Amino acid sequence: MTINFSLEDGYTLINLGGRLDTSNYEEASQQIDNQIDMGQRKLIINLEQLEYISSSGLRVLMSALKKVKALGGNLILCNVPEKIMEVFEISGFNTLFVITKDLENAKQKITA
Amino acid sequence: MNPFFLNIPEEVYLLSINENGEQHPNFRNKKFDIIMSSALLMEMAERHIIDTDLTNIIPDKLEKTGEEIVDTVIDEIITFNGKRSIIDWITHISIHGQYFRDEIITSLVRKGVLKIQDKKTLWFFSSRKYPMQNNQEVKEVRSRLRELIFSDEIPEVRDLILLSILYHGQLLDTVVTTSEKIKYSDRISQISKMDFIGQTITQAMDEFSLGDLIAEKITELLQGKSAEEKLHDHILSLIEKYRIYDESQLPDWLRKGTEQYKKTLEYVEEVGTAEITFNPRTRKYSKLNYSYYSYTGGGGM
Repeated sequence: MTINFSLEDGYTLINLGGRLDTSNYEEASQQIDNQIDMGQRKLIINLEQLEYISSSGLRVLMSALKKVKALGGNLILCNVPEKIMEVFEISGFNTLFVITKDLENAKQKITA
Repeated sequence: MNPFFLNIPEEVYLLSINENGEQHPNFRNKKFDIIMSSALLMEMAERHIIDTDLTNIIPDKLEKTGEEIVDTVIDEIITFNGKRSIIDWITHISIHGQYFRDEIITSLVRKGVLKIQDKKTLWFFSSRKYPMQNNQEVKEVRSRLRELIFSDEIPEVRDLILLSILYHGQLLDTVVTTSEKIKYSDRISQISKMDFIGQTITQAMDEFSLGDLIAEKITELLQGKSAEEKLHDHILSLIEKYRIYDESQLPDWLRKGTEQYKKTLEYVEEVGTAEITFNPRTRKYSKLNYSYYSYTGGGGM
């Protein structure tokens, strides 16, 4: 798994790639939580490089959404690869998140 | 360690009984074992003992917990070394169904949620309530799930798991009325999809029903056979039904050549049927029993 963060104009961009599963869900969760704890309330997670997601990985995303929403913030997913989108659709996670097809759309939505 | 007062199988069991300790009719059959096995695997996934994806169970932190039924499944996963499909595992571990149910009831009695009176499992308190924990009230599962359904909150993982079990196990009427079910159908189905093990329950129950029909036919054919023949034929049907690919994967009480198998045979002779089960903790046999509102805690040798 690769994860990196950048502070952009009005939001935090999180690039998440590789495999998000049982071997690294704690690290991913911790790092996203840290961003929220540091006061970031508008998050975009770019999943373009994500290759695999398990239940543990899905719960990292759900937990981040729950946390940021409770603090009045928002989290948007973008660039979701087809294979990952299939997992979202089967698990109903696509109904939980705002998902945009690219970063540009995500930016517009989160800063609106 | 489980940080929650009750685990998921325990809460599912509590949903299966009403205020008078009577069990919901849909729970009084072999499908209940599929539901409880699924609940146990979901508990293990939630505690990161295993992980899941669309089709597979993936071993994660396979460390012993000190909880009998969880450790039984951990042992099996270690024995079979590696990932198998979700439906394989649900079906396979449901062979321990009666043992799981015995342990769940024992644990609920020990925690002061249920009591056994006149061979019935009853709520310890007259209303559906859990005992206080550290002077704090613990919200009962049915009211928690109703709140979740009627809100638009993002669910807690444990509650989405429980709702997924009820939805796919066709047991929603334990928490909502028919009109509520219709009114909140979108919300219920949205949450219920969120667990891959939950999604497999329906398929496992359908396949299990087919296996049951075959087993019933075998039982009819067993009339007049010796205890050894009955047990042999029964084991063959279990191998088929519980997705056991090799006889070495059978529990020791069903594996020929073991000391425990000899005792199993003696018990079959004594009771006249091979439709029995064995509790590895109490080392007792009992006939298979699905009427758990009249729980007796097992018997036999």
